Amino acid sequence: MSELLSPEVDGATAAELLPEETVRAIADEIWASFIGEDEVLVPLDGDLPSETVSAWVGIDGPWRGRVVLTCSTSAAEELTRALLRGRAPAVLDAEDVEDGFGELANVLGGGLKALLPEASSLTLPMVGATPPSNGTDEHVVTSLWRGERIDIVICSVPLPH
Amino acid sequence: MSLASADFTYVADLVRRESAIVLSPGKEYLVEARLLPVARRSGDAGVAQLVERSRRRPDKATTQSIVEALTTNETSWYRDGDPFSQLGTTVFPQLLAQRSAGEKLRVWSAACSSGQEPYTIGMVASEVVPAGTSRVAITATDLSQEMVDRTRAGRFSQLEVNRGLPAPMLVRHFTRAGTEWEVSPALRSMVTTSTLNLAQPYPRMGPFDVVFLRNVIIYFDVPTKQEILRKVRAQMRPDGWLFLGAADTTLGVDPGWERVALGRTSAYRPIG
Amino acid sequence: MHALVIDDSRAMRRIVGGILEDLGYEITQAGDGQEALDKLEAGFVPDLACIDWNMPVMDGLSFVNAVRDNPQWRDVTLMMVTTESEHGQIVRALAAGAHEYLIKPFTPDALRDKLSLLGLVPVEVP
Repeated sequence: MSELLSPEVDGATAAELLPEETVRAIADEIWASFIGEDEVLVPLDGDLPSETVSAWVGIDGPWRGRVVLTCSTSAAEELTRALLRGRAPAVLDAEDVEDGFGELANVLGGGLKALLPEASSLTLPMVGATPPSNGTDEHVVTSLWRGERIDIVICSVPLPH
Repeated sequence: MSLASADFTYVADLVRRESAIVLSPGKEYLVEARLLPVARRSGDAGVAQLVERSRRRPDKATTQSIVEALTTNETSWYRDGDPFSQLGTTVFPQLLAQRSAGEKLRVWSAACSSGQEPYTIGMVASEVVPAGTSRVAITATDLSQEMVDRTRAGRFSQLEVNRGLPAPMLVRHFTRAGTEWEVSPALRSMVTTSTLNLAQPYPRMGPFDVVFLRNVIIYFDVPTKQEILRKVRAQMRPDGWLFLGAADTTLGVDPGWERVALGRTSAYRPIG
Repeated sequence: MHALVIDDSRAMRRIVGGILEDLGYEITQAGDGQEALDKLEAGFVPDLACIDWNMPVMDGLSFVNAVRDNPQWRDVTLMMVTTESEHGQIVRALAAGAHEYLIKPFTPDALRDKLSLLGLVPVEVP
């Protein structure tokens, strides 16, 4: 059965629907308010370690896609700590980081979905060492935060046959 | 990295010359914080280098950037609340009773910054004045061209609309424009913008029924404050209203005003 | 003053709760609209409820509808705190009876500004 896409999104790529400039604008707002007033995502490249963690949300609507946030495990911890602004326990456990990092992906996904031409919904955030594989239509927005590489990947998610 | 005191003096003198705004000692942290982004944008390694370059070969653009960075204020909607609620419950109704039918009501937002104040005034007017969006004319001025341009554009980020703007007002007067929120055409049509340096002579404007001069005269020395209040009064109707900021006062500065209590706030009215 | 913080994310509950505590509130948490409703039905009536929209079991909009349907809970101030930021969504929430709407992400000052609008800042912070 073929999927009828709405005219605005039919054939549009992830990069066309949510270009880099837009992704950075939404991410910058999140960093400035939830991570810290002076915290910035610098549009520079860096190295990702072999061990990373990702948090992702799905966008469900006329266009189906996924927003994936990836960084080192230590950066994910630091982000969670900053997010909890001084209310973080001295030792963050895996659940704390999953929850905090996942919430960042959730807020990022929420900000981006509002910019799509038609109403869409978000799936609950998931966190893991390996996000689902992305297929061919993806675009990557890379930044440095406190010297660590943070990747935001937007990809289309075709319906399974 | 702290600012050298000679650098601070240079910047303070520059700002005072260009805008009559006084940066008193103790404001070094502010100068550093505000000038660091300016330095980055212009390719200087840091604030010291920016200052050095400005000192060695002053150019208009650099001077302008420095002055603008130090003379803009944090702003929010319905700032401090009471002046705007009093505008709606007392000032506009009184003016409507005193003016002839259809006569325009004129308001001046004299340090409009990125536009939250003039558009807040516009929202209050549209809520309480019949045909408010055409009956009330708002003049919005600021020292900074950048701020005036922002006010004219009427677009605000998500973070900006989260600051003190009641949600019912957001949905009534704004629509989403990409990642930002934009004021309605009706609201924007109420506001005319221009740059104006409060410390310089004013063009003929108004006469205004209401003036908002909030949180700006605090930066000026006493003689300049007196001059400003005198010039503002000359642009007002004799039965007009002046709103100052919570920390501002005409007391001891200009006797030509009567302070009037308005709920939990106050306004100033010209005497004589 | 008492606030009920309703969000399925523990991090968000900590963030919102933390800001409210700094302002002098006592906080109770709930992970979804049903849990929150159960607390109200058990007799706990807060001054303020901060409500996420998208939650399992019962979402925030349904919670708002349920509270506004009950005259006993008429004095509970309802503020949405959510990523839903489309104009239409905000209209829906206000029409359902939410008093205020705070879009994520937000700063502590933004939350405090909203409380000022509602007359709900218990502690005078300069």
